[in-house]
Amino acid sequence: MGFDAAGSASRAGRIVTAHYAIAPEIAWVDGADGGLEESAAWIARLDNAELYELRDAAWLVWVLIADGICTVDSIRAEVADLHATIDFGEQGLQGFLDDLEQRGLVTRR
Amino acid sequence: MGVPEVPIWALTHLTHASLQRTAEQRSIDLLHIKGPATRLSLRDGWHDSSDADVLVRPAHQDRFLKALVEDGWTLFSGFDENAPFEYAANFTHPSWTYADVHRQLSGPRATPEAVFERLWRDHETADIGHHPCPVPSVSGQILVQTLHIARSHDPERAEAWALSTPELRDAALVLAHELDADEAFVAGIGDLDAPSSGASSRWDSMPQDPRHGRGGS
Repeated sequence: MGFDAAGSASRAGRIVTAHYAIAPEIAWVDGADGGLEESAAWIARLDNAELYELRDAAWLVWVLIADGICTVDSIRAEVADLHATIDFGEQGLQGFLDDLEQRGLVTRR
Repeated sequence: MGVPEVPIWALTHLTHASLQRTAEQRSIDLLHIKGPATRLSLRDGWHDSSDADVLVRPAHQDRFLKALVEDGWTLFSGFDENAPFEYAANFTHPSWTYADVHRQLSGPRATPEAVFERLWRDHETADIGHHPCPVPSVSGQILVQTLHIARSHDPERAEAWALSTPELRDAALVLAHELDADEAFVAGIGDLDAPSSGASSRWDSMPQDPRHGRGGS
């Protein structure tokens, strides 16, 4: 099943939009939790003790997913509403989400 | 995304979550104590906790220590080496910060089993690292922080007590009495002149934790 730029796939002639969620065995901390003004989140996979850091645009996408904004389109819309910009280079937002999924940080359904 | 340098305060949160996962997978009862396990309303401000403290149900202690090793932790100092009360063992892990595993609080004369059971009875859940972790009730949190001050050599103050309402103070005093911890509790709140406390000499003479050069955790 291939995904297009909006994270959607055609299944039996029906468009299925991918929904992302933070994976179950993840713990994470927002910089704001420590009184920081940095746009940063520190993330741990509890199953293998791997640690990650997301900053700026990556942080913003992460906290939006945590808030339940879970599709590519809704993330883009929320970013626009916030008058923010996100730039993930050639990979784009979909590529970034794919990367998160491959690392076991988010799930897609 | 390379391996990040996680600020110690953030790593402490993540470590609590990791310890809870280890416990959950083996049906082990843990109470997370101090640091991020204490409500913000009971703290003066942001604290840079450097280790994750948990109190384990005494009957589950051996299984938990075994589980920690299975999950990649290494014993740093065991119960027998850790002054002053031999109540905590310290573990290290390549990813996480120190874990202090307590089998008893410093201060109560009630048995470890009775102390845990009483704190467990009305525990609540706190999200630490966005992971649900059992923590003592609010009065239990005041008790734990105050008892820690009682044995600490740092010029800390019993901030949880100081920030509590009269009702919460009463509840914490009742809890301290139930656990036969009145003396240590009074020492912690600095009321060493209280009648029959007799606390100052005993609690002021506690040696420091050799690991951190501080009062310990």
